[in-house]
Amino acid sequence: MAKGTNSSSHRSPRGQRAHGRLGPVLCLVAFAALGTACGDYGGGSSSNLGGVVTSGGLPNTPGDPGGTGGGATTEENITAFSQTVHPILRDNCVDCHAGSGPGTPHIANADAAVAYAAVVDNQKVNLGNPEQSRLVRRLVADFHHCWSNCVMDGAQMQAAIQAWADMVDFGGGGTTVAGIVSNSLGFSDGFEDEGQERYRDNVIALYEFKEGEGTVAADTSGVDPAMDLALEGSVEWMSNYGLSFEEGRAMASRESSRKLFDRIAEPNGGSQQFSVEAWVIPGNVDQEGPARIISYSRGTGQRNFHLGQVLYNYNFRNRTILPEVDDNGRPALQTPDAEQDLQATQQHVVVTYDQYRGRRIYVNGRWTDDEDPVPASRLWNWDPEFNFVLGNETSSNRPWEGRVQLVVVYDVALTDAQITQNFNAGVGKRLVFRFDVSQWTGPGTFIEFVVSELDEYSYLFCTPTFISPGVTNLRLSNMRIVVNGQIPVSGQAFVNVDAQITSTRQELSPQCSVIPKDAGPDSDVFALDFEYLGEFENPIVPPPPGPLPPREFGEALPTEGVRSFERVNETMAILTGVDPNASGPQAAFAELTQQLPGGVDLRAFSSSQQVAISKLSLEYCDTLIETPALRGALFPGFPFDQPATVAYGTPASRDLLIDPLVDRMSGVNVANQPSRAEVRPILDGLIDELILGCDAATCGADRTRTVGKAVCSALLSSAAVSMH
Amino acid sequence: MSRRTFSIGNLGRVRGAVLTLLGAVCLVAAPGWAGPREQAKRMHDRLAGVPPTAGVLDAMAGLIGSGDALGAADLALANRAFYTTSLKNFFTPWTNQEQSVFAELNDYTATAIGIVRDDRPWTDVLSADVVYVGAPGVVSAPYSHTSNEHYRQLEQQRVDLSDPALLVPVPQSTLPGSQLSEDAAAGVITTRAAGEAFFSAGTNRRMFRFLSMNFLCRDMEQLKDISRPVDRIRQDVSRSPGGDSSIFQNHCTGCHSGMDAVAGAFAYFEWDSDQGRVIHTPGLVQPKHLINANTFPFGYVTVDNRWDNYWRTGPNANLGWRRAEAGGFGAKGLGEELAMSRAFSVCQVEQVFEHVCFRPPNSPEDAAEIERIADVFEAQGYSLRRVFAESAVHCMGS
Repeated sequence: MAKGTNSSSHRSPRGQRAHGRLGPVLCLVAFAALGTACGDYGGGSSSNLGGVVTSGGLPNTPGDPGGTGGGATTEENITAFSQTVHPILRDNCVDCHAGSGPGTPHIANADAAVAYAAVVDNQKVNLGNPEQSRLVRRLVADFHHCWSNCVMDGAQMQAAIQAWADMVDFGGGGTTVAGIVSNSLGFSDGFEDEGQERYRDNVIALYEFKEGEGTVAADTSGVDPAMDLALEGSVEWMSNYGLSFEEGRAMASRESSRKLFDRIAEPNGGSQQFSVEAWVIPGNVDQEGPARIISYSRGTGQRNFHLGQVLYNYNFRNRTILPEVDDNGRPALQTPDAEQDLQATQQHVVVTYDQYRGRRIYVNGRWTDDEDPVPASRLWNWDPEFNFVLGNETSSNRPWEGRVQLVVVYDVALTDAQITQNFNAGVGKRLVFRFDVSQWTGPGTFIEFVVSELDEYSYLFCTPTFISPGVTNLRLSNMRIVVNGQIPVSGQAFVNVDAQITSTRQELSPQCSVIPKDAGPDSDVFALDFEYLGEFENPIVPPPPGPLPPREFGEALPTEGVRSFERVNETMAILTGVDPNASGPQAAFAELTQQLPGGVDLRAFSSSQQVAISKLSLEYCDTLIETPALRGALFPGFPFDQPATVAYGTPASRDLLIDPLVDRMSGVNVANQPSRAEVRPILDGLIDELILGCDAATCGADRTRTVGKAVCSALLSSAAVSMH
Repeated sequence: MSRRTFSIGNLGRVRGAVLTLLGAVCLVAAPGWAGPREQAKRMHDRLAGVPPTAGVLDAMAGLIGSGDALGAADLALANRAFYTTSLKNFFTPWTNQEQSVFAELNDYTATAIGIVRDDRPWTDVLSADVVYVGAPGVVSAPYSHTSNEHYRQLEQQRVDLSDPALLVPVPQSTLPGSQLSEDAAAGVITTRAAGEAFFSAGTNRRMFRFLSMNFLCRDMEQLKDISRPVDRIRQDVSRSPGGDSSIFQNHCTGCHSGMDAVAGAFAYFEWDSDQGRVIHTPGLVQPKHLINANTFPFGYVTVDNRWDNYWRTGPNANLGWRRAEAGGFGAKGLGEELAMSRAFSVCQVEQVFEHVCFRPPNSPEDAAEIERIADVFEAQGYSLRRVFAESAVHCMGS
């Protein structure tokens, strides 16, 4: 468990209170030993916590860490926050986000100013568009710890944010960032970047999903017949080209699907080889079945081929005439579990089949090194009556959740080089943006980006390049993407750019910023903000960190503890004088180590640990009593060689055993330890019980030593020793 | 065990008698007022883990009675069990992923123990060119880069780690077969045990996470800050997990932006499981820092062992970073960065406090005491021995 200053170890112990005296603690241990342990004490952090943010929050103004809503001051915003959103957070989020819990940021801190700073600095609200606030989306979209009904809770939060915006007269569009800023561009100002050239030969079906609406995804390969896909069920268009599947499918007619059979498998004219290429984003790594990403089949039992998902693996089935391959294309070629080749992120996947290598799977341009378990053979037994389908089986009972951005079928097996080429070419609509900075760096200067939609939530702003008509020598640093007049707090990758421009076309970074969408590509407007550009500067002073949340304390905790395993062993060795490497104690400790207490926490003490302590104490006491030198030193004068009835026959004789034991193990004149007088009656009772019915004939010296070990162990394993 | 003379039947009766005794003692336990003798016993028990001898108890009680409680603590700190048991159990969970106390003595643990014993600045633990080993001839197995046998023998043979003649410091860079230069050695970070636990497999990010947990008392959740630049997040981190980049924006980047920037310090380190040793390749980035590059080709490509502490800005500025430079190259500088922070000092005190007091600070008075002891810790040359003593005095009862 983390040992953070605000760790859950500060939580209240369950029903325990601090004990300043040893007596009650002894009782606690005794009860624990009798099987009434307090139970484990868990804690630890939640696995589904954390902050969320969206663009379009309150604009951050240098020197004003809290930012302002509209024209309102920070103080006015805090006031509005404290009367609108803060009460909801306090009512429902304090367990994790108050400052003492595991969650960050501390949006539910008791101090409204602290909570306000956490909300604003992390862009949790969008006063211009409350519905898009992260605080709302976490409830409505992510179902994150809703307190009643997620939709209702989200509406409550949205209304509170709107009330906040109304109180501060937030204008709805934010404010323009002051400073060194480029011109503004929207998606309509960019021009499409075709990217690197794809390998385009031998294509027999092509889906680029550029329609963006409607119920048909067209096969744009130009190879007749067009194998258009009918969208059925839960299938959504992606704004950056693609289809998103949940339970639906996109299926071609049987007649048009026959194109695949004719071009690939037909015995007289088919190529007997093929490739299927796709850009996919698996929705998760939990689905199996296999879940059908792309299939050419009829139901779950018959297919020509499919590309499917089984957890972290791609699964490739293909029917051939070989007797060991069934009508369902099995045995499948599947990437191994250990490799986890499939990830729930955008991936380029290609499956190929040819008459030499059989099946192959390529992920992100690389062969997975998985050999086909069956030899290659002809595809003559493909069934021409099957349907080509994406996102599900033709029988609709093998759904795949995820997104597809490009699908291509070839009637050849692509080479490694061709696959790499297509991977490098990328996917999706990419635009070139040229931000004019001539106001700062002279006529004709601009900064070029390749911009694309990463997914529904973000844009990618990639590989910024400074372009000028002549070689300049100027400084450019701390470049940030601005969206609708505001600087998203998260995903900025060019903050640390600090370049001296020395050429007419100079790449500033090979990386991409991941910029959250605000209103969407149709209306979002972008600009660039700089700290230094040419001869101009707008130094940004990082705001001071917000105040630390006040430490919160739970109930008082136990002040005593139990000795842990090695402390028990060392303590017993010291008190008995027995070498812990003696055979008996050493073997017992090795055997009992894991059963002895692992830590000092009383609340975790269990009866099994007491049993282990007792067992170990018996070994030490056995060695002590059976070693004449040791027992002679600790118990001078005690008649170990006499029958038990003699050795324990008088109080004076018993004193010779009991007094040294109590003094050694409990200590002398230590007020919170049991004294001789307190312990004596108990040990007398024990001895009486152990010699009950004895006479000189039946209980010889061996019984004397056994009773001595029992008395020794009773003290050595007691709380007087094991507690500290 | 031929000498054992009690029978199974007797054993059962004895166990019954033990429980009887415990129950009975409940009824007669003495009052809990703590005078010098009680305070001395508790202090010794808590520090050394074992009870004091009668003589030591008398001496400690005398010192407490005369107002020198720290002097009494020093007597307890002289007990060998403080090193072989108490400190060993204190540090052992830091040295393995499972954070288990049930682990062998190793070079990480022994080095931490040695630094405390010799009262060296505790900041050395993350940056010094030092490792503690058994003196020549103490055990048969010499220090090895490929085995823990040397330390296993030290533990099994119960070598007295409190004895400076038996456990000695040596520069890591001078060990036969070392791949570390003086400038590359970084205290426990570059020990074999740390390498096995935190450089094995993975991407070396684990090393930072555990350093942060053990030396800053913060797991990544506590350091999370989504406002840091993302330019050091490596290519192996998806920017759109499951097709939802808002997860990256709001979760992944909160840790990776800062963590990947500091974990660059470990770019030349790897754990070779075949050899069973730490590999250090100056100037050559280990492949694990470059794996899964196609997950996001536009991410950061590790080219050297540069690290940068992006958490100096933002909410984590509160950790009190005090090193002159916020970045550098290699593990030693990163170790200095961590150890010179105020968070390091407070964290070390908090952990010692909990170790000695058996509870975390749980009152405003405790919290104030933590800060006071942290001040003493820094003023006394980062003496962790002093922190143990101060904590024991605070918790000795009254």
